[in-house]
Amino acid sequence: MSQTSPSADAASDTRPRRLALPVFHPNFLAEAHTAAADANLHAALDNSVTKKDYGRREALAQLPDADGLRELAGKIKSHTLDHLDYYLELLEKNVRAAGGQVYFALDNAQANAIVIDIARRTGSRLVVKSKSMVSEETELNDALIAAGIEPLETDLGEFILQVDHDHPTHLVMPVIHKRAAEIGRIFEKYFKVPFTEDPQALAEMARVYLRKRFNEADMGISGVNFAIAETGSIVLCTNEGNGRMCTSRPRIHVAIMGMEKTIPAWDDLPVFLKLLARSASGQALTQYTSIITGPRRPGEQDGPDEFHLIIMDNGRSRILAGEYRDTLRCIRCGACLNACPIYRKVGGKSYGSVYPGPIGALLTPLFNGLEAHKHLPMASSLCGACFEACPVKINIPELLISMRKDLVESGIISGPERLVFRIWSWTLAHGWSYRAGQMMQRLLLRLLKKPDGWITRLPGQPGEWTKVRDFPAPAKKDFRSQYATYRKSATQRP
Amino acid sequence: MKVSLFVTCLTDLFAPDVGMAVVKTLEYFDCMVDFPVAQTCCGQPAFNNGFHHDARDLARRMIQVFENSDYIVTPSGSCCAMIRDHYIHLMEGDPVWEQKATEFVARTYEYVEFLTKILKVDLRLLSLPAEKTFTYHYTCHLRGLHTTGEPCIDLLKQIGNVHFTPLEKAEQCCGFGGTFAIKYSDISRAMVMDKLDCGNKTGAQEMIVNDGGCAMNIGGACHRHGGKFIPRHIASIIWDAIESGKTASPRSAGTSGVTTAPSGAGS
Amino acid sequence: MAEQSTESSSQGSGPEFMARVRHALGHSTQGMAPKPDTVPARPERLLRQVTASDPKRVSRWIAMAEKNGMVVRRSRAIALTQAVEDCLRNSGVKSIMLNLSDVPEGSLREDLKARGYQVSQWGDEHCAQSVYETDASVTDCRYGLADSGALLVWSDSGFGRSTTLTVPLHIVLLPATRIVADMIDALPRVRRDAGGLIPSNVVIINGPSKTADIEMNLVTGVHGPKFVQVIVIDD
Repeated sequence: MSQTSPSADAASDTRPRRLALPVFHPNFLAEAHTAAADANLHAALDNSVTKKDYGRREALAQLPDADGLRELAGKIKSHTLDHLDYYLELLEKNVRAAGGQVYFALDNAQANAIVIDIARRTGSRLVVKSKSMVSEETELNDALIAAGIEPLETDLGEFILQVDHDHPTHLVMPVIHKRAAEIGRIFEKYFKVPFTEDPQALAEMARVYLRKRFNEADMGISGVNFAIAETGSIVLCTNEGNGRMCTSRPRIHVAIMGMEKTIPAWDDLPVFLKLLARSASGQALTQYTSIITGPRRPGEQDGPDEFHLIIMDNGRSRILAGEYRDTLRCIRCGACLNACPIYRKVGGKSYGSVYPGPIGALLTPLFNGLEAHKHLPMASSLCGACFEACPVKINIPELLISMRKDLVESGIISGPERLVFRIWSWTLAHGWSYRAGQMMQRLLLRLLKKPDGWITRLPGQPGEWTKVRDFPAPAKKDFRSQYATYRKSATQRP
Repeated sequence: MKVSLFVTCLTDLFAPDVGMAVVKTLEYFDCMVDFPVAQTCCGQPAFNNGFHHDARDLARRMIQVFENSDYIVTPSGSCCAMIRDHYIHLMEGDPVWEQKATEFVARTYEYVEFLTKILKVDLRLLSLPAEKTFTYHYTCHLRGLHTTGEPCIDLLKQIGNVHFTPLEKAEQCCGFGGTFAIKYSDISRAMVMDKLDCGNKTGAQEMIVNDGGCAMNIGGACHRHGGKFIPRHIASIIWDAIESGKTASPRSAGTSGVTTAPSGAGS
Repeated sequence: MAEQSTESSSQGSGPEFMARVRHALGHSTQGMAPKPDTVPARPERLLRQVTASDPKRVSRWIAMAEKNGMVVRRSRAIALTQAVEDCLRNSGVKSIMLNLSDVPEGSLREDLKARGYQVSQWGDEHCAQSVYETDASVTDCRYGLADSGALLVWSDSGFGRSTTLTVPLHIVLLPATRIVADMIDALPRVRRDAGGLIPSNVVIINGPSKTADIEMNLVTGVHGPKFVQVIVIDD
């Protein structure tokens, strides 16, 4: 790339890029601590995503066999990943056949450089963007600004975040962490209008402003929900219509995708369309499903003159090679976030990077390394709600456990904890030591108990338990002694 | 029918009454119950924390201890899930142990699952001594065993004098998660307080919680923060009903238990 | 020159990119990637929500479309003007753009003009720009999908992208015969009808433009039409 398009390289921002994913909030514990106690956040977030989760269940129940369809979707995704080289070549060939251009970006910097290169070549100064998580991953907006090109987010939520210099905290509801009043104040300042917290009025302000800008834009950038290898089509699922605007009105359309977004064939599309919106928001379909195949054709009165598809690796090929390949099935519906009791309490910001929630707890360490994100695989109760919600059946809890194994095997888990587990396992490996251990626990804990049978303060790390709730004192006689007594009396009975 | 009880370490120490209720109930339903005393722990804490080597040792021990058992029944959802979901995988690469694990897994049942799928019990002749209102928390690890929710609630509703009122966000994790509750106590707090609020809203006196860990967590929060209900294992409720039938009238005459839960149940 | 630049960017990373992918999969880096022997079967029973011959598919479509926030009327072809007028009543619409590729226009244009509307036509000079300032459009549509209550349209030399997008009020003429049972019936037809090559822009429209980004409050009419009114033509 460097020798073939120097202009792009020069334009890319020069900060060192060691990380594949940008990290906005590196301290999980501190963020989670604050968020878990933030009633305002819960009011905005917890109830909303819980409602979405129930909406998902209801919408999936409309299908003849939702579980079977999820299984199939997972199978198709896995099949595509297992043959990704074939399908990427096919996709490239068919996008070109439809008159589009295809670019392969090895990392986020290269993806940004390609966009800037296209913008420069086409004289594009204003770029309107439809929501794209991959562009969050590459921090495309910053790169465009550094290159003197104005990026404008047009999804209402993303627009609010851009104005407020904030980051999305949910895969499909980017601004879920903000209350209407906060958005009202942001717009009050930005548009210099009287304060309002009426969602209709706020949306209208953004609409009027963005409508004008759509008309001035040279380039539209979109993400990709699915790329169909067989036809060279990309599929975009949106509700507001900004995605259609971005891909219909400007002269140039650039679509950016992670390489795992590929699906094999046209006839695979219903499998995913019937699952995506249902899983994401409880809708049967999003308001608009755009299937875009190349630029406008001869004789067509509107549509872009050029269509460019950027396919990005940025660490995905590394994930593809390892035991976490299944994470690349993800279709970014956000269902695992909505279902996750922990996401509901700590919000997306705590997860630090652009991919929050259970799938983010896997992706962020996979992209950026385990060392810097060791809490993410640990901070889960492994309840399995994410697996149950996932439309492509990624077994997230099992993969989190695998990652914990990696933490142990790579030595990131501290020495003292290893020692505790060693002793614990050894104790349990023998009947006599188990019984001795249980007896010691019983005696010690019973010393600490209050007259009502509960312990209100435990020493050391177990004290974290009693910070939150009381701890039950063990029964006077454990099960095995009670059982022995019971058996004895039973045999003595006539 | 011969049944071996896997009581689990938490039940052994903290809830022996649940273990005894299981033993006596199974006997009531004509099972021959034994308790292999060499049993310790299924290895779940080690496994979940990434210490798979240690977990494998404990899994092998479990398999050996229950080698001669026809059925292995456990009152803990998460321990059963540990065995079901992970034992075979843990033995991968060792054909002999993989085979043993496969056989062991096939013989292992969670308590409610065993009552409904194997014994196919009918509790309609049973009744509690007095009317009581229950709600039900879906312990997470029962998800994969498909005994979550309905089988247990159906069983409960068969018992006379039982009122059932559903729990809001019943399927949301209570925040236990083993070491999670200690390592991430702030998050765990928010989760268990949510469970407590939802439980208090039901007006139920007892919340069915079929897992020792969840029961400790929810019970501890109830005690600290003024819960209006107590968590209890379904095994204890069923045994209460059996026992009250025994003292009040013989099993055959328990006609008061024929009617299922009153009309308010399940609404 | 422009072509060269884009071509070179692609060529620059393509081989290395593909080599990484093949390496990850344990495939040889020589030659074309091997074609998979089998692909996962897609059993219809997992997908089909409405049977293809369901006699109630029109009423089902209407019920679903109304749930999705569209206003649905039924009309005979001969009464089309009246039906469109009903859609326009009290809407404040002054300008209308017509974009019909299948449904015969009949006297619609003249009738609307006679009633004082400013009527233009997709295909007129600068239509792509003027549609941006137009209050309403009347378009037809290729298919209605009874499983979801959605509409399916696609662009070609006679049918625009903007006429179903940039107007505040979108009036859609949908012949009842165009209502198919399920998405799995409609999508294969897209390819067939278009002669094998997928049209450049296929859109499944499932109601008015909307957002719930602000505290999950539903707001309709963000960037796309705020109102979608459909006239199902029964003959």
